Amino acid sequence: MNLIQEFEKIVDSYTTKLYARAKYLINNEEDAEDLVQDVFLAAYKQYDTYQQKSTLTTWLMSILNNKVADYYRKKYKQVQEINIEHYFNKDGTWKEKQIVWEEDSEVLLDNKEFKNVFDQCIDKLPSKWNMPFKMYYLENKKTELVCQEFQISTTNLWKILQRGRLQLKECLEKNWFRL
Amino acid sequence: MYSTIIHKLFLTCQETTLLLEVKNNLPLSFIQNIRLQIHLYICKNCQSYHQNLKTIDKILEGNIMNPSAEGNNDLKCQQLKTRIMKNITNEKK
Repeated sequence: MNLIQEFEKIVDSYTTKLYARAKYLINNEEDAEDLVQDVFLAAYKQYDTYQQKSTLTTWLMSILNNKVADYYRKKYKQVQEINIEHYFNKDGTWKEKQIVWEEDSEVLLDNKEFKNVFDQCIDKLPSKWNMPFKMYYLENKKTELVCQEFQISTTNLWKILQRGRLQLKECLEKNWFRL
Repeated sequence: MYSTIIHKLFLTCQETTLLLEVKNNLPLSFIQNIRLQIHLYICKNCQSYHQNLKTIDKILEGNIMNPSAEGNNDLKCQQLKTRIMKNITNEKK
C-alpha cells in the first residue's frame, strides 16, 4: 500500500473526529474546515517523523492543537491576559461588588443571542487559557487528560480555570448582563 | 470588622475563587472545605460569584451536549474528505 492509499484510509477514519473537535475549539465552521485540511496536509508531509510511540489519534490531535493555537494567535494578536490584580485588592478582597445574574442557565442556553455573546467572550480569552478551558469541558473535566495534553500541572490548570472564568464573567457582565 | 477578621483568618476572596475551581472538580480536604464554607457563609460577594460560576459551568457543559448544526454533518465531512485527498494528491506532484 503506498502512502496516498494509506492516507485515504486515515482521512476516512479521522476526519469526522478532527472536524468535530476543530469546530468546538474555534466556533467557526469554515475556519474549522480549513484547519482540518491543514492538519492532514501537515500530517502527510511529516508522516515519516511520526513514530508509533503515540496513537495516531493523539498525534493528529496534537497537530490540530498547534494549528488552533496558531489560529488564535493570528486572530487575536492584541488579546492580553487580564491580571488578577484587576479583580482583587491587595488584601485579596473583591474590588467590585459581585451580583448574582438573574437569568437561569437553562433559559440562557436556549437563547441564540446569548450564545453568540458567550462564544465571543470565550474566543476573547488569551489562547493559552482558551484551549485548556475548552478542553476541560470537552474531556468531561478529566484533569489528567487536559494537563497531559498541554503539559501543565494540575495547580496550573486550576489557575487557568480561575482566571479564564473571571475574565469570561466580566465579559458577559459587560456585554450581556449589563452590570 | 467581624467580616475583615474572617477574611484574614480564613480565606481571601482571591483564594476562594481558586478553591471553588478545585471543588468543582474533586472533593476538598476536610480543612479546606471548612475554610471554604466559613468564607462563603460570611462573604456575600463570593456567594454571588459562586452562583455565577455554577451558571457558567452549566452553560459550558450544555454547549457540549448540544453541538450546533449537527444536521448535515455527514455530507460536510464527505466533501471535506474529498477536498483533503485532493490537497494531498496535489502535494505529491
